[in-house]
Amino acid sequence: MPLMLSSASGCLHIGLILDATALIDFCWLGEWEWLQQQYSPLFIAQEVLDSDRLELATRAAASRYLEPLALDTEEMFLSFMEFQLKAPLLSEADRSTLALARHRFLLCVSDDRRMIAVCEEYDISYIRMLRLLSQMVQTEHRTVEEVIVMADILVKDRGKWIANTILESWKRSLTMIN
Amino acid sequence: MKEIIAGNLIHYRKGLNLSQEELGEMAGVTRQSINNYENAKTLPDSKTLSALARALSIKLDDLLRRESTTVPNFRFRANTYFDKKPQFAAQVLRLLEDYTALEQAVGIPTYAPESTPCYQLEGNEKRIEEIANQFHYRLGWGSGTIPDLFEAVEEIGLKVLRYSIPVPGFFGLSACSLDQGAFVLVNTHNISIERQLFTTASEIGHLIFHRGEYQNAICYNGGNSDNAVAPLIKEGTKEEKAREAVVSHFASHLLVSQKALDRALDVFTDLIQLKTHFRVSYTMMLMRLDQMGKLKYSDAKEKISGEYKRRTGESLSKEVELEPVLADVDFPVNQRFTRIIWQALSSGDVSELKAAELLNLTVEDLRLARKEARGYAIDAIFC
Repeated sequence: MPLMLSSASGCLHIGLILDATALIDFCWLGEWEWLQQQYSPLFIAQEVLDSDRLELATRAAASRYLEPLALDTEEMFLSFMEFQLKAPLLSEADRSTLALARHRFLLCVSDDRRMIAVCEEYDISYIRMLRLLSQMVQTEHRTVEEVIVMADILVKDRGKWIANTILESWKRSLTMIN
Repeated sequence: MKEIIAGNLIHYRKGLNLSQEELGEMAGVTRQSINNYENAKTLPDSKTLSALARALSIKLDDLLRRESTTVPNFRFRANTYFDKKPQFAAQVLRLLEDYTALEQAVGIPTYAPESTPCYQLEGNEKRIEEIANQFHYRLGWGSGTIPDLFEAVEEIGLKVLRYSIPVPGFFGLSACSLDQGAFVLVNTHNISIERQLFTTASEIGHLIFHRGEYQNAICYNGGNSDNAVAPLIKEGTKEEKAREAVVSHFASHLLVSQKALDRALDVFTDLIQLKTHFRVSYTMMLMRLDQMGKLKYSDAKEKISGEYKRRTGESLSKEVELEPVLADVDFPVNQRFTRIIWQALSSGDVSELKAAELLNLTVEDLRLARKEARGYAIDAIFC
C-alpha cells in the first residue's frame, strides 16, 4: 500500500523529486520498483540529468526510472535565482531541484545538508534516505537487517556522509518498527 | 524574466559573433524561436535555456542574471579584456562569486595589500624596491628566495586562482573589494610557471600601486558592448606603459630581492644557475642584472638568442624558457581554494554537487575521496 504523501507543512504532494545525492544512492541500492510503488510519479530535474558531474551510469539510470522536469514558469525561474542569492554554494542542478519541488509541490529526496537547510528555510518538504530505508521496513519490503546492511554499504563502500551518531540512532529506532 | 533573458541572449550571442541562425543550429532550436526569445515574446524552459547556454559557452545563471549584477564592491584591473568578451567576464564573475561565498561560509579572513599610488618608475625606483622588500618580509621569507609565490601569497589570505583560459595575450588580472579582499586570476593556458609567477607578482604590484584606478568593468549595459564601461587607462598608451614599468620593477624585486641577489652573485656565475636558484625566467634574471648595471638587457638577450640557435638550431621565441624550466607538478594549482571547498563540504556549507563542480570531480569520486580522507582523520585514528 502506498505511503501517505504528506509533510510537516501539511501539504499534499503529487510526486517525488530526487536530488543528485539521492539519485546516486538509489542507483546503488537499485530499489526503483519499491520507490515507484510508494511515491510515483518520480521526477528528476533536467539540470541534474544533464550534469557532467555525475557518472554516465548514474544519469542512464535516472533517464530510465525518472521523468525529467524543466523550469518553465516565471515563478520557478525567480525561485531559482533567489536560491542563488540565499545559498550561492548550491549548484544550478540543486537549485533547479528545489525550485521544482517548491512550485510543483513535490517531496524532495535529499541527504545534502545545504539542500536540507534551504528546504527548511523555504518550507519545502523533504525526506532523507534513512527515512526511506525505515519505510522499506514499515512496508515489509525489507527486513531490519537488510536495511542496516544497505545503509552500511552506502556509508562504508560508497562514501556517503552520515554522522555516526545519526546512523547509530537510526539503527536503534529500527527496533521500534518491529 | 523574459526581458532579462532577451538582453542576455543578445549580449552573449554577439560576444561570439553568432547569427541567430548559427546559434539556433548549435543549440537545436529554430531561428524563429531565438528571435522570439530575443524579443521577449516567449519564455523558454530551462532545458532550452541550458542548451543555449552550452552553445554560448556560459551557464544557465548567466542567462538569468539581471544586467547590472556583479560581485558586490569588486573593482577590476585589466578592464579592457572585458568589454568585448562577455563570456570571459561571466566566467570571472562566477569564479569570484564562488570564491567569496566559500570564504564567507567557512569564515576565514581575507586580505588585500596596502595601497600606495605610484604611476611612474623614474624617480620612484627606491620606494618601489622598499615596498617589494616589505612585502617579501610580509610573506615570511625575509630577504631569501620564495620557493612558491602562489602558496606564499595564499597563506596570507590573497585569493589566487590559476585557470586555463584560452584567451590569446591574456596573462592575468586582479580585483579588489573593501570587504572581501583582493583576488588575482592567473592564466595557465600554454604559459610557463615562470611567466605565471611574474604575472602574480605584477598583479600584486597593480593592487598596491594602481588600486585607485580599478573600476567595475564587469557590468554591461543592455547587451550592447559599445556601452561597456570605458577603461580609465587604455592599452598601449604611454600611461599604461608607465604603469607596467612600475609593476615590472616591483615584481622583479619581489621575485629576486637585492640582498639575496648580492649573496647569490658571490656563489653563482652563470645565468642558468641564477634563474634556477631564484625560480624565475632567464629574462627576469637579465632584467635584474641590467638594473644592477652588470649587463645591458638587449645585448645580453641577443647573445643568448645566438647561443640558443647554435645549440638547438631554433630561434629563441618570447614563449620559450631556457632549460631547466619549473615543473607544473611542483606548483600545485589553487591549493587555498581547494582547501576551503573541502572545509565547506565538511561543515555542510556547500552541496556535494557544487563541490564536485568546483573540484572538477564527479560526485561519485568526491564521495570516495571523502571516504579515503576519513580513514586518516585524526579523530578516526585516535578513537
